[in-house]
Amino acid sequence: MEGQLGASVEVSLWSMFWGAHFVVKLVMVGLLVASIWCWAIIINKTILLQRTSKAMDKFEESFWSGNSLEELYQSLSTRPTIAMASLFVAAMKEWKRSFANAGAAFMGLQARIEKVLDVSIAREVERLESQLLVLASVASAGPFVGLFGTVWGIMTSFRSIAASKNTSLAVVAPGIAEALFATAIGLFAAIPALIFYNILQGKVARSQARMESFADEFSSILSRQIDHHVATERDRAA
Amino acid sequence: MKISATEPGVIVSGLLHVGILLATLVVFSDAPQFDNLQESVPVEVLTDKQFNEITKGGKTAKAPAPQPTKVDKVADVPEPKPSPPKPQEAKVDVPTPPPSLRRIEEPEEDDDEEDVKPPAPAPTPPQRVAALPPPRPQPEPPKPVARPPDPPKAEAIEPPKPPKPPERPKPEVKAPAPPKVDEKSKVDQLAKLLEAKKAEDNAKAAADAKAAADAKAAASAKAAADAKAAAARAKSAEASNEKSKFDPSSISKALSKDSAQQKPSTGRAVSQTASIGSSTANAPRMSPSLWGQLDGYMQDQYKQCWTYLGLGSSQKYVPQIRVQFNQNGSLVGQPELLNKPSDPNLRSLAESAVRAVKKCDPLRIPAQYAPYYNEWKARILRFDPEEMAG
Repeated sequence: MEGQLGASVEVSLWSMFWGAHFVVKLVMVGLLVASIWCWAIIINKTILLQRTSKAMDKFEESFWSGNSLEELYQSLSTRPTIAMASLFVAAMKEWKRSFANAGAAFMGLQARIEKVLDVSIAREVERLESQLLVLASVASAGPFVGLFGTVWGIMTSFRSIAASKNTSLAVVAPGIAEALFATAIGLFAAIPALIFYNILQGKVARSQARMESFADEFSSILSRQIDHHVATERDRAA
Repeated sequence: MKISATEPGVIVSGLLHVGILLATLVVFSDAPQFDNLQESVPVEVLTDKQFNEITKGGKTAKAPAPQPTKVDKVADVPEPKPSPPKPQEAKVDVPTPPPSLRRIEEPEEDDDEEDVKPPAPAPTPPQRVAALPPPRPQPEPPKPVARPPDPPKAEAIEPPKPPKPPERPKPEVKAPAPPKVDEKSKVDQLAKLLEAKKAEDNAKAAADAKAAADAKAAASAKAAADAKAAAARAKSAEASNEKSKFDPSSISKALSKDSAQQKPSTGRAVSQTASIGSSTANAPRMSPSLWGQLDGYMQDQYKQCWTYLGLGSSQKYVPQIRVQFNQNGSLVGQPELLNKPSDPNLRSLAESAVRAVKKCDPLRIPAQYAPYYNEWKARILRFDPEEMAG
């Protein structure tokens, strides 16, 4: 990646960096740090999304296995949960709280559960896609920053040429190689960031869709239960 | 971002980048160079020898301007030059005669003084004037002379001693001088000279018969007598010239001491005068462009001299005429037609060419070619009707 772009005459990577102008150096270092940061995010997000999808698979399996929701809630509420499980736990908590004091209003329960599910989904999605914006920023800004370094480097090297009054290619080449090195690093950081941003964004969107569908299903189940309770209460009252 | 087992991104990413940087450092350590495409440049090929000669000529070109007079002399020399000295003899004999001559004269001037050392400085000035060519030996020889006062006889006996090269005899020859210092009459000195000659001859032993040595001695005696008369007034220069008569071969070698070590060719002698006095220089060679110019000059002149109304001949015939020039461009001898035509019709062409050469007798050769006389003094002219017609 860097190697292909920065071909130069008798200029090692280190001398290319060290000979560059201060601003160009700053750009290079910044882009390198951005690249490290991007890759850290990419790795973390990939792991997180894998774990999330695995957890969702596992939860859906146990949710649709026919076990009592009460037992499922008991088992899940004791430990931290992610994704669907956390949706389930949040909704169940709200459900329980409504039934804790008898005669509580069933009228607003449906709306409250919906809200809780929405908030949980938002929180989960936020957790999944946090820092993906960094990738997006690096992907879009990295080439420009690198280009800035290149332009600056070429500017300085042209000024040096003007000062030394020597235009032979051997004199010009190192400066331009240094300058191009900045763009090389910018592209080196931006290209993976762009690719993985798209991939991860897609994964997050899928997870979100999955959670929303689960939330809809779960809220419909709870709604049915609420209606059932309301009916029984009404029968009892009658 | 926290560093944790669940989120190893920072560590992994950092390691990844370090790895990539190291890899690129290794990859970048040597940048492949492009193949050098050499530009083609038109070149005139010269051998080293030619180049050296051209540059030599170039360096000396400005200075020799005042030399033309010298060159004239030299131009005359090569033709009559009778016998180039044989190099071998020159090496052996050369050194001996001149020092002995000087030594003889020194004492003459310092008649009364027995020690040679003190007088040595006094006589030097005249010596310098007289004997410019070999200035070094003068100061040194007198000292050895002073120390061994009576060696001559011993040396006379010695000759068997030196089985080695004939170099030994030289110091011995010098030795006999001191006695002469004591004696005032020149006749005695001459006698000593004879002795010295004998000593030399003995030293050579194997080569020279005694009879020859005696003959030489006799000749040298006469010459020495003449020398004595002349030397009474003149200094060593004249004396040496006179001496040279008695034994022309050896003395001429002595005079040309420096050049004797080089190849003694007539061409050499000319070239040495042409280039500024450096004995190692070669004759200046004409560069190809100079040749071209010279050819142009000659062609122009011969064109004007040549009148030939030839009938077109089926045969291609180009008369070739060998010509020899003097320094001033005039002909030496008769132009010689090299290829006489078999076809009588072409004879007129050949004759017209010879006529042209004779008509242009003092050929105008630009002065710039004077130093190269040796190169163009003999030429073969080709009278090509087609070329000349133009």
